[in-house]
Amino acid sequence: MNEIRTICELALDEPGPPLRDGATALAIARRTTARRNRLRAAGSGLAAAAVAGVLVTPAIGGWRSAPAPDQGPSAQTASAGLAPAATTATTRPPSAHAAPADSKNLTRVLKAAVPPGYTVSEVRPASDDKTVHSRKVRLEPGRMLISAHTQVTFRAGGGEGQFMAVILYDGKPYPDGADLCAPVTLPCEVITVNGVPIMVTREHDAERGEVISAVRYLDGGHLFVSSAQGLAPYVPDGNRPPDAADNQPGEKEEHRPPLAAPPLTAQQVAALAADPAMLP
Amino acid sequence: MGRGDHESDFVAYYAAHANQLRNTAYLLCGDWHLAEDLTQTAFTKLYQAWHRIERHDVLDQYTRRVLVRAFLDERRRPWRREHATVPGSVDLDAVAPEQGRPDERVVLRTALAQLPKRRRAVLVLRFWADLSVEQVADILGCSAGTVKSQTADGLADLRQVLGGALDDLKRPLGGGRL
Repeated sequence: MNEIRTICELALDEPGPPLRDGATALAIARRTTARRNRLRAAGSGLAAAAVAGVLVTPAIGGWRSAPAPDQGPSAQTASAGLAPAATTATTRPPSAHAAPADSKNLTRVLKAAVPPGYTVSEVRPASDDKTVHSRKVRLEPGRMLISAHTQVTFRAGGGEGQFMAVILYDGKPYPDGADLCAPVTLPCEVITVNGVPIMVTREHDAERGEVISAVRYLDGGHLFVSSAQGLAPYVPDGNRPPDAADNQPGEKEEHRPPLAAPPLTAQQVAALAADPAMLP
Repeated sequence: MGRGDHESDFVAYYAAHANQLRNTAYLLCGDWHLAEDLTQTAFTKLYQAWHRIERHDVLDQYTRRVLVRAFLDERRRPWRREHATVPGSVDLDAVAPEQGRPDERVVLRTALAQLPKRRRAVLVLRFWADLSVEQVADILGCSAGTVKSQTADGLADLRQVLGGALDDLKRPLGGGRL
């Protein structure tokens, strides 16, 4: 199942923090083992005391439960997986609750945005699944659910570029009044389209050329739209377990160079992200 | 074999295998720090059992089994489901960071993370670590039939999330595609 391996390789594409060295790992293992042995010895002592009829009573203060944290209204609402009621906004932001079938909306808008002279070569994926994630779903920090997504690849003059749109659900409230560019390290600007603030970032590399990304924050997630001048070639990771079989197919899909120019401007990508036709 | 020999063998085994084991742990849990903890847990248990293991050709399988079971156990502990409301927590952060743009890696990693943990473990062990159905069954403590059904269910789950993009990944593709 090469597709699973590819997912794993891409997931490991970003290297992790340095691994602790063998001496440190050994020291931790020694300490843990010594602690386990001490606990076992103490357990034996307690068992002997119980047999002898000794009552062990914990000090009340030391065993009192910690008081429940004072949760504000917004924290309570967020912990229930719901966005807090807007206090300043007059209209509720659109919801990030989308179904895979809503990918068709994304595809329709992205295909219409392909500039004249470009030929659409691939559109993925298509689904009729109308299942929407429950608003009660609890997500661990950093986790997101893919509600809907699509990719539109197009060619012109021997080059190839791509649009992508994803609606991600993370359960977070709409960042009303927040500086959208604050957590971003890439060059970032906020472009307001028809009253909708869109965070737009740019990056450039030799393989993909200019990549412009736009994020429209929603109630419980965000809509992400990107316009890439090119596609990076796939390079399999050679750092796999020694007992992993090498059954990757030998053939490679032809890699095309980036388009001669970025297909869209930052303003146009922001306009795509602000397009209500993209929303579920 | 004295304790010094035993410990030097342990350190040598750690140096040779810890990185790949941590990669497996990361694929399971999606968090480098938790992956480091799981790897240390696996090697600590290996250290405690080292003198009892006579056939060192089974070390890889033993270590993977400890790692995967530690992963499954970690998520069962109540404290793992509790998250402090500090900056970085899901409750207080208003803006989804991830450097502002979820790229393809994030989407794929997210798709993998959405699978139930046992199905995720089956897929990672079978198709990343290239273990047989029987080896995976041994690690998870279940039957070969359960591994096969979990494999099918996990693939179906991924297909539901990624649609045709999953089939697209059967062949090496240009980066930037799902």
